[in-house]
Amino acid sequence: MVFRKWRMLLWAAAAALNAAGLYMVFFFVPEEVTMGEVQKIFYYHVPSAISSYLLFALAFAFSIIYLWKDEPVWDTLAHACAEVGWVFITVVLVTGPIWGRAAWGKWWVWEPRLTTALVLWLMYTAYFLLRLFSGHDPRTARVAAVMAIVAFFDVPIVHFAIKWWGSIVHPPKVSLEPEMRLTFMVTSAAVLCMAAALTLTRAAIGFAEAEKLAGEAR
Amino acid sequence: MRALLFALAQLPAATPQTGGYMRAGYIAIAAIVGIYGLYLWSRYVAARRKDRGR
Repeated sequence: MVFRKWRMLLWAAAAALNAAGLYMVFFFVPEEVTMGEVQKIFYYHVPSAISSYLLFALAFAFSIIYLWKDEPVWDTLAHACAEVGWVFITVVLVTGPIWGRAAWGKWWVWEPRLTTALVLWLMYTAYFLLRLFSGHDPRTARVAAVMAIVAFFDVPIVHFAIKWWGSIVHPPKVSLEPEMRLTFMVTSAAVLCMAAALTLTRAAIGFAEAEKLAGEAR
Repeated sequence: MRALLFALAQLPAATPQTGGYMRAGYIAIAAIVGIYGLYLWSRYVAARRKDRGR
């Protein structure tokens, strides 16, 4: 399967960085005084959001290239990026309410960032339902590419929601102590490596399956 | 006794006990990534088998 060397390298880096990151979260970083231990969700919640933004941006770019060049390789890459991005936005939407319940006393608040993030999750869920129930023909791939392009426009809306409409729960800017900043940098690298390793593995599987389908059609 | 209670009341408020929520959050992350990892692993094994079969 393709990308073997890169996959091995990224999986090794992801394992080492996650071990270091989790050690720092549980045994090194100080507790935040107003929220207590629950604030430590931040170290995986925010990097997961960043990873999903990046993967949706890649899915957007690959979908445009697919529509332009009509080569299935770009569709496979876009599908892999969107799928792993969806996993990470799911992590964000699950850990957010757990943090919120402890910090604000509520599981969910209909404020701009949470609402637009939920809309983003629903749009990519629709993307997978389309792919799951419409088979492997090029027409499905083209409709899915258009969906990935349209869905991506929600990413800047999620990001700038606080700036544009304000928020009662999300602070516009976060300042961190040096130990917190260091931990955040390590966990960010860990999550990004894991996202890259998952995406390359998913893409390699997609290429192998597409090859098999092409072999059966011949 | 009254003096002790008064002294205790002067201490700064304790950090909230939210460790349970923190652990629940990390268990949820492990569950989501773990389930997806297993799903991907099963597809990877199947795809590799097809690769070798050819």
